[in-house]
Order: sequence, then structure tokens, then C-alpha cells
Amino acid sequence: MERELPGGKYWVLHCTVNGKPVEKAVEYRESLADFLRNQLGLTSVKKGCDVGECGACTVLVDGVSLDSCIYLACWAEGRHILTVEGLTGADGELSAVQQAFIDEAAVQCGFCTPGLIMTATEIVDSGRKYTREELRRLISGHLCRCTGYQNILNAVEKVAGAREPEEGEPRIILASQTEAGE
Amino acid sequence: MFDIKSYYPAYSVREALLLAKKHEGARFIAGGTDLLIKLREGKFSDALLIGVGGIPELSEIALDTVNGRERVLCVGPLCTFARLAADPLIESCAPMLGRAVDQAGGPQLRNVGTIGGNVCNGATSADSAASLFALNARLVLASLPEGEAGREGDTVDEEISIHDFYRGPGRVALKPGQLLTEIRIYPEDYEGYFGHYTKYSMRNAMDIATLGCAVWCRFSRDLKLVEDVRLAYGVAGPVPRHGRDLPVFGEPGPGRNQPPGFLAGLPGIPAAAGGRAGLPGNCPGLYSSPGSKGKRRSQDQAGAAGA
Repeated sequence: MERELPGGKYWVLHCTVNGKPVEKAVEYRESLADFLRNQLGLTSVKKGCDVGECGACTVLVDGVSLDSCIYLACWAEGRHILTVEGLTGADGELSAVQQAFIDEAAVQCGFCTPGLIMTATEIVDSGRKYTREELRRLISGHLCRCTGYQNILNAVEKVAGAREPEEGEPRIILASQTEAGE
Repeated sequence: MFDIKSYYPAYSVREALLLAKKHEGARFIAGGTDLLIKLREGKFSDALLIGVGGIPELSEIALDTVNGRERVLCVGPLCTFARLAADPLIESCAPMLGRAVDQAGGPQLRNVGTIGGNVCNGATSADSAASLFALNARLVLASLPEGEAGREGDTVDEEISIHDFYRGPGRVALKPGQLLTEIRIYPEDYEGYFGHYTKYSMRNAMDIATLGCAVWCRFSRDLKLVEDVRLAYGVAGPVPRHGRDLPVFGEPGPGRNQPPGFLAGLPGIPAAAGGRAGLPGNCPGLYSSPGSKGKRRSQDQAGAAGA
């Protein structure tokens, strides 16, 4: 499968992006963010820091959120990648997550928004309901300088469904408790 | 673009070792969440990288028999932090480790960062470090046999204690051409124990630890005696430190063979030696009250289970 040119510089990448199969030569030096933005024109993927701190470049790879700026493009071999461009419905309608962000005024400058929408999509696709504290933890890989996060949490709560903490349930400080069986 | 001169993907341990031998100065890269950031910061340049993230046998978590010892917890170095945090075997044997790695970075980082990379990066602030020290983890390092040749599948394995692995800030006892292939926790280091890892940092996420502290204890069956207490710290020195060099754990100082009342001041330990909450392997939790049900992870995990 690998057709390696001399020097280990290139890889012919086969993957699926927003539902469509893609075959492209990538340099090993390229990050997934570089590949999606520059080679595929998917500029919803934002570069906020390029060091995996801000979450603006978050995409879903096989349904799992990760920072595409510190993920080599060649690692996407055989995987399904989803960006905001892939959330659009057949008639161009916004996804429920996107609509909730608009309805709850969770977008100001919009730069952090695509990354948060991908994480929110992952949260919704998990099929579980979360407390607000759990949601804070789930979006903790994202920085937003504008909104103060409350409206973002309102939007995610609205679309994912909120639940109240149970009687005697420990307050979330440890991440692990988010994974506790409900 | 990263300052990568060449990248060579490996699909088996032996392939990785052969590539390392062929390309002098090459580094192994797994999830890349340390290495790629270091490349961005210019800590090194013209990188020669050998990608080990695609080696299937390095992602397992199991109880194995090792050298005739049963129920050794064997963790593959490619396990992501998200997977360790959600894994039922880790939850039942060494939940402190799962909860510790669950506090590194943020969700996106935990979906990609691996425990092997965290250990081999050699940072004293590693969130896995204090727990692995308290668990007396042992590391298996594979290399090619001397003088090479050797049959297909031949590697030479060396088992080293984690206490001897960290050598200085960012330096570990990994020789050129050696690859970490397994992290082992032996039953005498986890059976009957419970504990907790605390990460002190300014923010609740995305921060490197300002101090990490792991406590791992075993009580006698009648809950009247503390049979063993282990303390380990991250960031308290250039390498993670085991508290056994602290005078309080000297021979027979306070803390050893003391009734549990001594520990009543520490959060999470039941003040009265009555309840069985917290034994074994299930720390009562820093924020639950004694007698509460305590949350256990469900066996089937959805969500961010990582690679």
C-alpha cells in the first residue's frame, strides 16, 4: 500500500473526508490541518496556535476529536475525517449542533466555533446526557476569547440534552468520573 | 509544515528496531503530542522519525503470566490516555493510573497521546509518572540482538524498574535503538491497594502539573493496620520521586503499622475503619462521602476511547 519515494518524504494518502474518498500525495511534514486547509480547501479548520493548545483545529477522525495541527496527515490513512463542511445537510441546512450555536448566541468572532462544533458533534453522537460540569470538562480542550463559554455550554446542553447531577453524586473534578456508567 | 527530514512508518517491533539501526539519530514517534510540539518550538530540527503508532501488538491491556508470575497487568505503550481512563481492567487493578492520565491536557490530547510516549519523554511533570512510581511499574525495552542477523521476530528484552528509568530532566534510560514495548505492574503492587493521584495546577485543564502526588495504600484485611503506604511525586525534583526516602517512612516510623486513624486527616480515606468502601482497587474518591455508592466505570465505554 505504501508507495514510498526515495528519502521517506511522501505518502500517498487514502482516506475519507466528509464522506468522500480522497487520494492525495502528502508530505510526511504536513499536519492534518495543513492538508485539510491547503490541499482540500477545508478552511473551517482554523489554526489558532499550531501547538495543540486552543482546539480551533479540532476535527473528528473516526468519530474521535483531536487537534489536527499536531497530527500528521499520513496518520489519517484509511480513516474517516469530518470537518464542519461535512455537517451540512443535503439541502444545505445546518446541523442541529450548528443551529443550536446560533440560537444560543454562542458565536461572536467565530474563530473557535468550528473546533467547538466538532467536539459538540462528538458529544451529541455519544448518545448520552451530561451534567453541565461534565460538559465543561468535555469542552476543556477549547479556548474562546469572546463568549465566556456560558452560551457555548447552553448550546451544547440544548442539543445534547442536559441532566441534573444525581443525589450524592460526586462533583466533577476528576475527568474519570465523566466516563462512569450512568 | 513540521521540520521533518524523513519519516519511516514501522508495522512491527522488529521493523522499528531495524529502521532505528539503519537511520542513525532517528527518534520513535507514537501519538506525537510531545515530539511534534517540540519540533514546533525548535527544540530539534531536521527530524528523522520512525512512526511506531501503527504497531498493533503495542496497544493491548491484559492480565498476563510473565516469567511464571500470574496476573501481571501488562499495558501496551501505545494505549492512549483516553483509553486508559476508560478501561475496565485499569479501573479494577490500578484506577489511580486511569484517573491520573485522565487529567493530562484536554480531551483532544488524551485521544492521541500515549502512555509510552509520556514515559519516554522523561518529563518530571508527566501525569502518568507519580502513579507509575507508586505502582512500582516495570518497563520492557526491546532491542535487536547483538551483531544482528537473528531470525525474523528476534528481539532482546530488558526489564527495568521505572525508578531507574528517569535519569534527569527529559532524559530516560533508553539506549539508541531501544523501544519501550510494555509497561508491567506486578500483582504485589496492586492487589489490595487503593489510592489517589492529585494534580496541582493553575487551571483545571490544559496545564502541566505544578505538583503531582500519588498515594497508594494497602490495609490489613481487618482494616486495623496500614500495611503499606506509597507516596510518589512529580515535579518535586528533576525526576519523579518516590516518597520512600522521606524520613516518615523509615523504620518503623509513623505511618507504618499504625491504625487507620492516622490517615483520617487525608481526604478520601474512610475515617472509621468500618466501611468496605474503597477496598480493593476502588479509591473512595476525593469528593464522595463515605457510604456513598461511588461511581464505577461501566464495562462498555462509548465516547473518547481513543485509538
